Amino acid sequence: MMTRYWMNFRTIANAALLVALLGTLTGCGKTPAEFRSNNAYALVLKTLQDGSYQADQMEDLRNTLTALFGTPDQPYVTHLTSVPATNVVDIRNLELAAGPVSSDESGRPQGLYREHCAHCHGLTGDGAGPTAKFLNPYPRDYRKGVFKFKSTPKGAKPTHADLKRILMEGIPDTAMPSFRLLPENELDALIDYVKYLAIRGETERMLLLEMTELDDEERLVSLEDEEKLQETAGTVADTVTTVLQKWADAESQQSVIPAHPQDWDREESIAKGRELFYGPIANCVKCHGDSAQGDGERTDYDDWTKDYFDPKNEKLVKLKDVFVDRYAMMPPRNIIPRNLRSGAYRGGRRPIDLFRRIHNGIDGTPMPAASLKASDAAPDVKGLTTDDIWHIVDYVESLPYESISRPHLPQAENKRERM
Amino acid sequence: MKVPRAIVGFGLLSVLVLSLGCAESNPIPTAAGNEEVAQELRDRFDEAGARLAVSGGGSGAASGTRTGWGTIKGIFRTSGSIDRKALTVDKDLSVCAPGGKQILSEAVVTGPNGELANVLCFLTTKIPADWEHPDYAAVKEGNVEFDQKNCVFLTHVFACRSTQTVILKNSDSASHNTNIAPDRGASQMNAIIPQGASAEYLPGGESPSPFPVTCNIHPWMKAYMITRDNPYFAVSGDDGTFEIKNVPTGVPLSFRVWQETAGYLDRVTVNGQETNWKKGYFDITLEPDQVVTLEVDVEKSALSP
Repeated sequence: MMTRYWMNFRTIANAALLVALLGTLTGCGKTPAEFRSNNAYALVLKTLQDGSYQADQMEDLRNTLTALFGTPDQPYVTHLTSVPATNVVDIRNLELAAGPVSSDESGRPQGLYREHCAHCHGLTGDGAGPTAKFLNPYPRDYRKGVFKFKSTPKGAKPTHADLKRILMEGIPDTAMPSFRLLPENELDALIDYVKYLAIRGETERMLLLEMTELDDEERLVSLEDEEKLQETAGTVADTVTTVLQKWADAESQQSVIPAHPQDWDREESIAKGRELFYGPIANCVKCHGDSAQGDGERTDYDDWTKDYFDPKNEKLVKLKDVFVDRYAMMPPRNIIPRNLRSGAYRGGRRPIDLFRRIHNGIDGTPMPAASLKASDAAPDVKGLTTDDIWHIVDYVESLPYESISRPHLPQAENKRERM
Repeated sequence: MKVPRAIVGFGLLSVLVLSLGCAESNPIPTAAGNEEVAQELRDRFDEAGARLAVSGGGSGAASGTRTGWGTIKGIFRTSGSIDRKALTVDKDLSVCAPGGKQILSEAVVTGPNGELANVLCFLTTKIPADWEHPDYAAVKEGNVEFDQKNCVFLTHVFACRSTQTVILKNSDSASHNTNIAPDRGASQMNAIIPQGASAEYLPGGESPSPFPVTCNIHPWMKAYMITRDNPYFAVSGDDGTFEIKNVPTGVPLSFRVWQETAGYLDRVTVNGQETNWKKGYFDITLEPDQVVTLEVDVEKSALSP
């Protein structure tokens, strides 16, 4: 008897192997690549409303988004907008970046986004590619349409050049590498594709917000009901226009930064910057800490996290486990102010990069813009002049070179003697 | 008759493995987008987009002829006062908690008899310019103050017009940052406001719903703001009362009512009658010189998170 059972188990085990192999080979049937729905944001919005979207409403949204933006294999940009999408992205660039990885006879590549970006940033640009959970910080989720390192003020989109700088330089102290070796046209294609994913993602979020107005039995869109269709088209047009307008505006919104004065004594400027750093007007010390190692305020979260995890909102706190366990989302991490002694500057190491971080703040994070005043304002007017900001830049640049910033090297007596 | 167990096992396992391997892991069911529907939608949307390019678009503004002006006023109440939780205050104690003073949550603020403060009521109907009473012209632009003292925003629910300039003041002897984060319509801002200083916020547009204003330096600080194109809005005071004057009459209007914890108030009792303000909306058409009084009772259960 024992043998019989054992035999059976072996047969079953073999069969299981065979089936598993079969399953792997066929990939459960080839389905075309699809964008993932922003179910987390949907759940948050409806939880705050003590309800939930209906399955057919979510299907309406998917169909609407496919109508507007196509699929990962066949990108599209809608004409249902007052700002032509072609002002923002070039559809030929999208076609170069989209789709599976391949190349034609002349070696022209296809599927650049999936080749270079998707494993971290995800097919949908949701920052949840297969590698994402192993990284700290997590890869950026583009769908909020918010970007940190840019030359434009708070709330504005980055310029094309801002995004190109990130691709060229990478982001130090994160997993984001440099793509400097790619040809210019491929970089442009990737940038347009990232914009496209951001536009698609932000449109999805805006439509989810609009959908909170729907009753449970109401659909977002209906092909049978002409009046309803036109009403939806109106809402969608407003939404897409709003999103595209911001991208179109960005190119002319760069903050003008005066050059660093040439004639300054560096030591003197560093001393002034230090005073401002710890002073009540700039108040950098509040978050970056007495030691400037980023230990002033370590309990906050960035805006991407606060979207679904707000420790101050009791309704949302209850959802944390749902997101992590059932949605397989990355567990929330606190946003830690930069350790200014490390010498790694995520948004770029040029003085103008540091100036912009202080001058404009950093979108999506607690980092605020400096409080400004005109250069000729009376001394008792509270605020920083652009000269003041340059002093702070000089001080911040000096921090990694202070002796306490240097890594602790092993003491001589602790070194193992080589026999 | 006898089916070998191995085959049964094989069958069962196939089903198991296949169903495991291919199961949709999203808890919200998402039917795979229907290609044909999407294609037809694309064509219809693009047609609508082509018309948009010709007409320049239009908004669904209200219709009708205004006959005069009226008033909407009233009170928001719940059954008895609700205790307010003390917030964790762990920074700048000499400024934020002088003499060990506690800062209480403002998520629900009630008077001794359940009078409900900080309830926002605002007109959602898009109105033409001549539905705006001339008295409001004086406050269409100009400055409105939004202040903070002892690490508390002095106006917890702040409503203003999208054309006004908000002067963000800091009356504390500590630095704050004021982080204004609308999800739609109005512009975003996050700036340091040094002690005793102020900054300007230009809303730049209408926000369809209230949005949070926070200070990241003092994480317990939170207020809500809404910016509206029209002047018809009010926030209930400590005594629970509100009043909106010079409301256009003879035309159908839609208002919306919001409270921080409850969200848009739907199940309410208005002048003794159980009412469902679906998603917080109520419709009303006033007679000239009419004063409508709404006594709105809110269940205590709606005010707990």
